[in-house]
Amino acid sequence: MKTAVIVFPGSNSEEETLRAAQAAGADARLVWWFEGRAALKGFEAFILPGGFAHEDRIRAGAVAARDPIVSAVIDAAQHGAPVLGICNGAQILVETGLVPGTGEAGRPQAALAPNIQGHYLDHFAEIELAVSPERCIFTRHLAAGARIPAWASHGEGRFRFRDERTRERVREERLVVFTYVGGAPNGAEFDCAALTNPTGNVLAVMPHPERAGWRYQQPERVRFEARGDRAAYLAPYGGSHLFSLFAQVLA
Amino acid sequence: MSLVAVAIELKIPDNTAFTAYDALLSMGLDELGDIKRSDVWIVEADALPAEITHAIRRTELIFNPNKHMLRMLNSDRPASGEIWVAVPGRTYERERRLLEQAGLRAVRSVEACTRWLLLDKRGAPCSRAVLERARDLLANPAYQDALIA
Repeated sequence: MKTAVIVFPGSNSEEETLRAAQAAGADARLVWWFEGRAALKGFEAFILPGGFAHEDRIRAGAVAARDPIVSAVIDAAQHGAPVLGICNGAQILVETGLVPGTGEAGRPQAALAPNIQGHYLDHFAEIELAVSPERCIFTRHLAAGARIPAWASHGEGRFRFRDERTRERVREERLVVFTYVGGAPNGAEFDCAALTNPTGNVLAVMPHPERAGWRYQQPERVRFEARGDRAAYLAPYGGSHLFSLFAQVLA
Repeated sequence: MSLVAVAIELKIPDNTAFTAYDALLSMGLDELGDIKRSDVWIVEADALPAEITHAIRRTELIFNPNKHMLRMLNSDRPASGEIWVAVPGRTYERERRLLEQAGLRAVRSVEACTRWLLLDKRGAPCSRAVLERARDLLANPAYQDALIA
């Protein structure tokens, strides 16, 4: 299954994301937004990487969500294609309405609002599987309660839901797939770190697992465990797990 | 007590407005001829309107004379062709303190929003139908309010 990592003007994590996906065994390549809808022909899975698409003008993800290339991703997602959005990619997915996907198609039912602190946050975070692994196609091979390390790096990462009815559906349908261990640092509702859609084929994850995909990208205490062992130091670790799960979905 | 509403506009080209214009055209809003963006500040204080305006002009966090123009508004509500986007519950305590430091006493309230003015190809305000179609790009209903005249 071919995977497109879609690059927007202002994306900045596409290389790490591509590398993590390829290292996990996915047949992935970069596709640029200006290549248009036609460039996605033949791709069956999609990753929207992090960054600042269109400089986050108007609102993070708002302009990219209305880009013609994203309309092809929306069509594919509605037919069950796996779609993973990371950070800015998650913001784009929320703006398309694909997640939580509880309302009218094309209208956002949630937002990634500015952090409660009013400023950018950049720190190591662990996210924990908060639902049964079968809830989302990307997590079905995970153990219950599994944790994945990632780097939180965003100014607009606070999941907010449009109204009580949306909140109720998010709760009832268990759409919050991952929560932050220790509580959301940005004030997100339900401590949400990652949100899926009712059919479980779209995942919008706010912190960056691709920036914690190898041991040398982990906090010092984890890197220290591999002291003197070059192979272990350079080995996949932590965040790479999410990409392995992604590759398993495609297999 | 007076209430003053001002629009703070960029003197330089507004890249965000250009991007919004392009995005709206790509969404099929062919009627659109131009779009202008400004920050609206609504300040209520025990002072004359001129004193409030003077304090706003002296508060660089709101108004930077090197890059901004200040325009007085006739109303604290959107006019024809405008969408005002605000974040409900957001407070402006820092701006209130700075306004007081700029000489304004007894500031009763400070509110702000982003004002989008959509014009058709003849330069006239766009219809409400066009504004409704632009609304979700300019405001996310999950955390922003979009006020249309």
